[in-house]
Amino acid sequence: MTLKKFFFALLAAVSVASMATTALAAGGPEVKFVGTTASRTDAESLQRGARLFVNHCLSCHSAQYMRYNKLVDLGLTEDQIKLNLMFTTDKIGETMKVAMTAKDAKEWFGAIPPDLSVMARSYTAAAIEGSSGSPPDVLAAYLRGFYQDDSRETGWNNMVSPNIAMPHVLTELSGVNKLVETVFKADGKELKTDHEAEAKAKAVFIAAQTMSSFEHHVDKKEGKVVNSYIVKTLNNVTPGLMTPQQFDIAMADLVNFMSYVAEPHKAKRIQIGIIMMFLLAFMLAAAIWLKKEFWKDIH
Amino acid sequence: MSGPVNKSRRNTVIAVAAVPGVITGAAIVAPLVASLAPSERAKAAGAPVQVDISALKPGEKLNVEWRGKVVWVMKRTPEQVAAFEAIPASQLTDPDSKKSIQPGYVNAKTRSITPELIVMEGVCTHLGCSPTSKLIPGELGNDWPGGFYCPCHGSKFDLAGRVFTGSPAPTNLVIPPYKVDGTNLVIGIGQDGKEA
Amino acid sequence: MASTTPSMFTNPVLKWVDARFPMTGMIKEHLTEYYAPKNFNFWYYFGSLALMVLVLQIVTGIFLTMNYKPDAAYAFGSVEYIMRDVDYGWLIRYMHSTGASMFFVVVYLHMCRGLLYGSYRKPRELLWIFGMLIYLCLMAEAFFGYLLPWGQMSFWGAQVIVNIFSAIPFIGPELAVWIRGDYSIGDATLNRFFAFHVVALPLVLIGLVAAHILALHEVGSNNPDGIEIKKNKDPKTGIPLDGIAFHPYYTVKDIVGVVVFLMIFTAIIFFMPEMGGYFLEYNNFVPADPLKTPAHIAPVWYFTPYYSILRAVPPMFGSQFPGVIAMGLSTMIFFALPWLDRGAVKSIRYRGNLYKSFFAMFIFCFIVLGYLGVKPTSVWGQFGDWASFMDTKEIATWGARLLTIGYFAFFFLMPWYTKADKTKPEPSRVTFGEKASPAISPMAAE
Repeated sequence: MTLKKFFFALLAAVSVASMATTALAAGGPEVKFVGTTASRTDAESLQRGARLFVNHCLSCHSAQYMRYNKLVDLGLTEDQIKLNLMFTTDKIGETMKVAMTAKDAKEWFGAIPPDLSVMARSYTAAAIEGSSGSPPDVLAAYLRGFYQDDSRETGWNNMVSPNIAMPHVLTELSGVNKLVETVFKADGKELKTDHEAEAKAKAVFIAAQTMSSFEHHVDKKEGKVVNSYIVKTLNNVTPGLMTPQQFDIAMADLVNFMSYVAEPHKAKRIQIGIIMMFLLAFMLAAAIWLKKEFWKDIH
Repeated sequence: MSGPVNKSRRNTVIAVAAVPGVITGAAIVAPLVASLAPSERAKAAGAPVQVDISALKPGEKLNVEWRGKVVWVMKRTPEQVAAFEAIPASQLTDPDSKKSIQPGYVNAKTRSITPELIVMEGVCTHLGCSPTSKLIPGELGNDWPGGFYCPCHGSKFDLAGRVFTGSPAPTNLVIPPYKVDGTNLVIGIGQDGKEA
Repeated sequence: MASTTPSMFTNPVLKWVDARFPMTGMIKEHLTEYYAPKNFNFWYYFGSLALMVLVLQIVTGIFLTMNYKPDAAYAFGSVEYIMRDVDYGWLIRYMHSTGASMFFVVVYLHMCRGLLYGSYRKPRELLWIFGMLIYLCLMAEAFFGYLLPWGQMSFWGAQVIVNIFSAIPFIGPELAVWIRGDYSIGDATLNRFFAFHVVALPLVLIGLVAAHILALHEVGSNNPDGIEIKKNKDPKTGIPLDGIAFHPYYTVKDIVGVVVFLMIFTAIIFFMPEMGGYFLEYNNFVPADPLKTPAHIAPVWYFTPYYSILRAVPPMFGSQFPGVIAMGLSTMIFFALPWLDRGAVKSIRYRGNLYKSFFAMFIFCFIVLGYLGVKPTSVWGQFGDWASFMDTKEIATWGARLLTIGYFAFFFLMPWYTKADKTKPEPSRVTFGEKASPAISPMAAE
């Protein structure tokens, strides 16, 4: 066997091994994200997101690494920023500090609301590790995933981050959602086997129009193993100022803005990258030509 | 071995390859060099400073920090203005402030926008020490009209910040860009709207 | 030697230097009159690339140090300061973080070349040892550097690794406190890791790299056929018949390698610096919190094969120490390669199927162990209840144990299978792979 063939065979073996592993993967509840994503270059979306952020988030959270004057990136003038977006300071070079003190926060919420500067880069939420979702998507799902829960101190719970201390700050916009839980079990009547129950549950999960989660519970009852498949969805019981579609877009805007705040230089980075790739392609051609010229001497 | 080495062809190839090579090298070095410039935080800290001068009494001097330097904001009395206007030009190194730094909109004689209020950097133009106030006439000898004395190497300045002859300092005290809006003084933005 | 070697320069300033410093001598010995085999292939780019990445890390590191604050209260904020407020700070940061991962990509490929072609065999044992010392220093450098951003992964990764030292019997716990300078990872730890990362280890690395290159030049480079080109020298010049001057031929060829590398490097930095969370981990954008342990602590990808081995070994006699020993052994055993390999030939091109099978198994084990190391141990699910008599039902753990055995088998059984292996005869002159015939005609193209 030639060395090359050998390496390709090795590569194939490793690929098969890693594919097989994903098939065997197990995890926590699988959460389905439903909702639009806004375009990174949509300046209007970013501006709407900025307004939402400043009006709703900065009363408790800070974005202490983000300077107000950088917001000109969104197509705003410094005067527009001062007028519409600055409430806690009048110096445009300052960073987005929080209105509340840390001491009050600890007292009122039991935890200091974390800084949001890089939240869109870090928010993975351990509870949904089984699902693939990059931080901005998970963050959007989080904002869309609040539901009313009277057993919690704040009266709210969240599908993506269960038992989180943050209340549903945006309830006036989204209205009130309630959690709808449906359990599928092999009860011998309609669903005769575990396999059928799982299939039915999965079908309901996939068909759901809102954010939903799929969980598989294993219990032992009288020595027998009982498998139950639980599908949770959200139901909008009280409307807010926005329709569900409008709220969905608003959250897309907010997360779009937070993604920008997490990495304000992203647009410039991509621009420079494209130029550098062209330069290096040119450099590569020159380097290969140079090498070939000298290597004419060899053999 | 192919034919003899074509030296001139080889040199051409090297020269041509060197072009993108130099550009790539510059592209790698450029961000490193640029990173040494003042950061956004430094620029924000160096932003214009607002001073409320409504309570400033005649003869009183305020010390204001701007860009890490001390700026003197002083309301001179009419007597003090007359005193420094009376200093003969022969006693001053740069009586008309031709070599000194001051914005175009300040009056050349009083080195200020209005006769009484002067805004100048309290930084000696010799080697950067901050001169001490010697405002009382006669404090530093019979002819002393009032002004400032730098303890480091002995430079003397009058109440318009002009340097006396015999001082190691070569030029008058720097007048920074500033503008006055009623009782609101802004140091760092000039009357002409230009930022420092 | 210095003053007797006639200067290669006509410029009077350079001649003046040459009379006082072995400049011409060094240029000749290491560049223009260093004869390397002419059949270097793809695998031979990675040495010069490793040197380039080292320089890159040092230069970007210097500029990062200008703005970074090694204080637990300010470290995280100073990194964000660099990313946002310093002009092009974000670019310097991404160059450094990507460079760290690329350093390991390049070094692993460089080591793989060594395994493929027997570059560790006599007379290059010391070269291999220097290389292994560089590898160990590099791992330490990466470990110390990773604490500096002071994110959640930084903090907890360091906590876990330093706690490994506390598993050492008798002296363990005190040793861990001494390493940390505190009862838990804290400001004291951060400051000393900063000193190690910025000053101590870079100096050691530079010294080792110099020793590595000097050791190489002393015996001459190996090549994909594993034969010694010095055995066939031109009777008149003394130059190996299969040797070509490093400069200009390999300087010019390595430039191509550099440009290709830069294209990959640039694409990552500008388009995907996080690499899906493998180069810049998501959780490290959360400031370190000693009170909140992340659900899933994993080392950076380049440590994961060894981490897998550590996790796979069950506790014995109530101690995790056997796992620590296994992990340590898995890195240190590379040192023994020159003496474990009893093969009649150096290069895999002339080895038999027995060796190739073990080699393939080793590479497979290394990669899959690496994959398992980034995932939680639950990644392959569990065996059924029948397996309750074992210490764990997790499939991945048993998989890792099997792979660990395969990993060590490559080394421990090597003295046997390299001797029993049916090798092919080595050529007397270099070849360019199986396509060309051993006797190269002047007309043959590469």
